Amino acid sequence: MNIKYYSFFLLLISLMVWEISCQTSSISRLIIPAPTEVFFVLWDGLTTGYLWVHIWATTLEMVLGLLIGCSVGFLSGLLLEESKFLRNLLWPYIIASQVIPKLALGPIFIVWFGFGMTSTVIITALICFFPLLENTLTGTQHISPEKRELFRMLGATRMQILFKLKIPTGLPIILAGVRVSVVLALVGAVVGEFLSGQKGLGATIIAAQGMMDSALMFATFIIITLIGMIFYQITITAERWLLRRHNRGTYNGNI
Amino acid sequence: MDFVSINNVSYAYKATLPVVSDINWNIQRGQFHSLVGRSGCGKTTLLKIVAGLLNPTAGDVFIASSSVKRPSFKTGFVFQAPTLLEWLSVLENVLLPLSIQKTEKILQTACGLAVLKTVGMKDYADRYPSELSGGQQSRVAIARALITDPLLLLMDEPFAALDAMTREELQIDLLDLCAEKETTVLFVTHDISEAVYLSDKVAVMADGLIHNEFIIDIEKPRKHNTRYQPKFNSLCLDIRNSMKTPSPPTVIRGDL
Repeated sequence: MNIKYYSFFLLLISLMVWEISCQTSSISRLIIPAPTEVFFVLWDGLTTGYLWVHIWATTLEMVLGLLIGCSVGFLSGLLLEESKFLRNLLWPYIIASQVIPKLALGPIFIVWFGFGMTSTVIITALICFFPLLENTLTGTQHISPEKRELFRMLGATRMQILFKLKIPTGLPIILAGVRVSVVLALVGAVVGEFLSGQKGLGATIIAAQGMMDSALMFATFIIITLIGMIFYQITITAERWLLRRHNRGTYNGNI
Repeated sequence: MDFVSINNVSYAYKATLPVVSDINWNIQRGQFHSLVGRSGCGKTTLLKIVAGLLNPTAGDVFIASSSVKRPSFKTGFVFQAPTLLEWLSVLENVLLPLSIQKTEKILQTACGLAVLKTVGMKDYADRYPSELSGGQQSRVAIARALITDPLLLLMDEPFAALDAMTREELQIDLLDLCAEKETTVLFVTHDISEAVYLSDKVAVMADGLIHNEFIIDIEKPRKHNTRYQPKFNSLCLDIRNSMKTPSPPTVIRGDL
């Protein structure tokens, strides 16, 4: 049987063990709610529309943060690749900006931008920025000397070298950076909401904590996990499409 | 007037011994010359100087009476590795020089297919480099160098990584192509028989100097059995012997 089925059975068995343990043991449902209870809370939240507002808020923050962070990271990567001077000048500051935990900056962002979406989007964008910068820089620098000489020989301009050689060569590594950013963006959005959110799944978790509503927290975890998996899958699909030419040519024996 | 003239050319990387010193060499239009020598003797450096990829620390190179300062569109270069862009199809790889020069798209495709036909790769136009064998990749690299109709073709051990049979086929086809287009070629190799088979003249390099030159007066067109002629073998042996003990520059005629 396909391994995927085993994987699914594993989930079912885990849920059953969890359910039976909750029903038979004396652990309070405030600490660990039973899966059925979590499911009912989830169902209720989705059918009444209560959770959709928060799902939408978190998704929007994540996507905006991801787009801004990735675009700025990618463009900065290209700029630093093209200018050794800027690279040497700015690198220590970029490292410094990255080693500081972004969430530690949360309170000051709230002072500057207020509670709500802007602060969360900025935190998310900052988290997504570095993987793209780093991977763009690495990807576009690893070009064989012969390919560089080929382009020089052909009289290519700097822009032609960038668009026809450096970016296509670095594309697999750049897209790996996007994949990392997608996962980090969700973390950024949810944790950003812990600090500054009035809406969103992070804010829902904090609210549920205040009400000791563990079942709602678990329901939110499930939604966050699903959002993450959906976005990851979208990224993988987009990556496959963008790299379709790079991935061509597994030897098929017909030659 | 020589088509290519290399006058007193020297090249040294910073604070090291010269890699190439005081080279003088001339190539007439349509001739095929080879540089042979051991690894590190400076032959690739000399080729890159002629290409304009490196500027000599002393001396000058002239191609068609104009001094070489930078790479020119009219000089084709074939690298040791095929150096194809793996995300482009065979046709797109061949068209790369034209797309960099922004030639009109319609003209491009026709030129690309025509040049692929000359190297026997027309049926592979839509394939990708990783779908090709080593020999086929080399053919595509040659097609890419030929698409600009270069007056001078510079080749840096282009067949070094190929098996003997494929290499022979490519050598035969290369000679036919060059004869047809009257292309002038400077070819770097460490394979003596390859140099003798292809060339009108062979320069033997060692320690950055040209130690010997051999005129290869084996009749053309050369075919497979040329390699088994006594004259071919004696020339190979002469060149091999000249590489063993560097001697002062001399000219040895093939029929001696």
